Amino acid sequence: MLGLTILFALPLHWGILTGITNWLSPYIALNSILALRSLVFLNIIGLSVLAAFWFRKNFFCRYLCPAGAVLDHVPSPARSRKKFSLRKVPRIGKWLVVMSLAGAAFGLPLFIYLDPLAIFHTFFSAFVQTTALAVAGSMAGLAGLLVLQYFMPGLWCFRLCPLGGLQMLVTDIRLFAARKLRRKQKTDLGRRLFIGSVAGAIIARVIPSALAGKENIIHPPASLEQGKMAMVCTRCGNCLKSCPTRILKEDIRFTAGFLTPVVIFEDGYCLETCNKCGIVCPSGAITPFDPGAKKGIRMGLAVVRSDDCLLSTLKECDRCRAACPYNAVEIAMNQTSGLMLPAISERLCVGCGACKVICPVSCIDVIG
Amino acid sequence: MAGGAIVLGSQCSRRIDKDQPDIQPVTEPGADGKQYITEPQRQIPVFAVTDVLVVGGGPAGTAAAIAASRTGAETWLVERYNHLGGLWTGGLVLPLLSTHAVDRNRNMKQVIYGLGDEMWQRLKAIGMSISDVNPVIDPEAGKYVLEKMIIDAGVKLLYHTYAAGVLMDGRRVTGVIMENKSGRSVILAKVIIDCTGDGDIFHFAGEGYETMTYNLGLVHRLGGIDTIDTSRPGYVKQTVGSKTPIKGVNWVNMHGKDDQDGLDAVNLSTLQAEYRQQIWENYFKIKESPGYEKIYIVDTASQLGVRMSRIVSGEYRLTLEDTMSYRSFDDAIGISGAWTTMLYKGRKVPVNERPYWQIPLRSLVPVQTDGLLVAGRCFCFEKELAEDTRIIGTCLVTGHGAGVAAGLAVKEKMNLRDPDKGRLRKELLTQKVYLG
Repeated sequence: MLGLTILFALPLHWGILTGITNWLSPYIALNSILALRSLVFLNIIGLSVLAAFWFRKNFFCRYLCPAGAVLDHVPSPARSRKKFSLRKVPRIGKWLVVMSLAGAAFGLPLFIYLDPLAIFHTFFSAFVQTTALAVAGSMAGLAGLLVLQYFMPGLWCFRLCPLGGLQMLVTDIRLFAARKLRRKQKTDLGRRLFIGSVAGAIIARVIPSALAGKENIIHPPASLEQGKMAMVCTRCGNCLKSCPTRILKEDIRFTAGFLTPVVIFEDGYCLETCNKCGIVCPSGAITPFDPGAKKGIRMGLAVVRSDDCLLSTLKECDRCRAACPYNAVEIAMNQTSGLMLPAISERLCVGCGACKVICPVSCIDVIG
Repeated sequence: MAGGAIVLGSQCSRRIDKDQPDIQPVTEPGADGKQYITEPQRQIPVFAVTDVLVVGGGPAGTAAAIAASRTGAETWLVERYNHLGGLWTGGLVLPLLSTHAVDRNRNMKQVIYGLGDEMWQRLKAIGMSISDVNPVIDPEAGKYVLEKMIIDAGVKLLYHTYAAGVLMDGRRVTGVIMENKSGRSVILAKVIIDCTGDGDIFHFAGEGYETMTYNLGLVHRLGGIDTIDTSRPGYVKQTVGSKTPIKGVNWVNMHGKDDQDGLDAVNLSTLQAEYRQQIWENYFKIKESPGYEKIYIVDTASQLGVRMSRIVSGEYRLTLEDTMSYRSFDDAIGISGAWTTMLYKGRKVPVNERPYWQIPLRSLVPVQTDGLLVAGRCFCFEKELAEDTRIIGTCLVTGHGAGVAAGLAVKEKMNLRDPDKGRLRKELLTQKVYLG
């Protein structure tokens, strides 16, 4: 299972299979379904696993979780050190789940990116990065887990992991239901759920304004707005790995959107025939869309710096016009200069970057 | 009826009654709602019988005629204007674009050899070509050099002549009907090369084709550029085009209106007038600008810059992928270069990384029509490629290849649809074509 997951997690352009192992996580599925109030076909995988939790405790950790499999191979610390005891640590994972899901119900899942599958997959998106910071950022999650495992073995798996927490919660609910049926003693489950939910909901209500994006960056097509993107995105890197023109990069600014996908047009553009990022996104941060709908999905707007344009010196060029898949570029008489210059239709331009990329003198920008 | 009476009358000296009815031709409504007449049949003289007939004397036609003649075939070249070189000279599109591209070892190198290179070197020798990559030539010198090469090659040249139709024998095109001051006549030929740019010959022959509208402009030249006085108070830089080999003379390109039909005579006439007016009005504006008082218009091009019109349906349609992946063909007739950026599979390929690309003979052979080759901007390729196929360098390469193939077809009975690839290659290499 570990090998298979690594295979899918690597940027090998599997198409729809890219990072498909991410869909196994019911934690991602639940957060996404609650936050977006919608579900997609592949969510059935996550929900099936969730249903299985009811009957089999911890089978996921044992057989499916790639992060768990890796952590199992971390050597034990030196004998001289005092043995780390798990007993004093509360089961934080459960609280994370409750808070996150409650937040999700109000539109913002709080800790979706702590999913072990997402962390595992993020590690492999380091291979498609171009900046050292993004490589480091991608690897940091799994590396952190390894270090944690070395010094405090079991802490992640048994106390922190929200996916583990979800399993415990399901078990708790099953036991609670069983006890209730037998009219036995009360548990604090109801109280715990209530406190966690309220906390999560309050946070989800408070933070959106803090996350509102001000900077001019371009997001993948059909993706959520910046603030919501930062919370719904698992950072698994599926979109980056599946992008055929490699224009999706991780956001390396230290904001709430750290490591979320952003579009950087260097020498590729967003293909008019492609919808891979939307298909592979396990959390719905990028909505699945039909390639035919792409002419209506705006990422930004192309703007020409006319002074640098070849046509302003009457050189032969029509590359932007020829490249535009949406016929948004017209070479027209500019009333102020009297020259024939590219004019971009704000109505038709979706900001795919084809004109920006093909321009021989790089005089076109795409603004978000 | 009326026609019959006239013939009878002239032969038998019978008087024609004054009130002879129906002397006007009867108009018939066509399927498109326009009125049509049926042109009366008539006898026209056979002007010449030859091995190879090249229609159109642009870069492709000139190269084709010289190449065919050099294989030993008797060759006629028919041109509508009074000069050779087409848009390159008369059209004032002076740069010989795409002389260079990147080879398999990632080295930028010259790829246009053969006749294109010969023309270039001759122009260079008389100081009428500037720049070592994508050279810009002087149009009058171009006309002179191309004409000299045609004469030296022994090509029979007919200026001032328009192709008006074709003679067919089944699938085979056997001659071209032409119209000039001497009237209507026909040249019969074993192989005909369509270098009209607009593909008039394959159109007449009923061959399949695609059409493409494109931006269409009119180039002009400005003189007195060396008199521009930048030290004048109030000087503001004006757009005055690019250098030519003649000091103080610039050529000024025009992008023109997008999506123009280059096959519509009314449209061409309207644009011609509009563009010339525009050029002069713009000139007056520049002249008013301080420092530009002494510039003058040398000429506007004798021909509108139709960039694309028809694309023939050939035996093979050259694809963008072929040109981006060093695709090699066993019937390659030449290699052309690159001059601008392209998108390939969603990625940018800048001009200094663009591969050179081979052109197969198959792309010059029309699907239905026999005895015909197509060279110049209307050979068979994907529309995405137009930016590279419509330029002078590619026209020179396809023209040269078509000429060689036509010559071999006549002299050595080579089948154009199934050529002797070894022989074709050998002859091309003898004529110094670069094949990679």
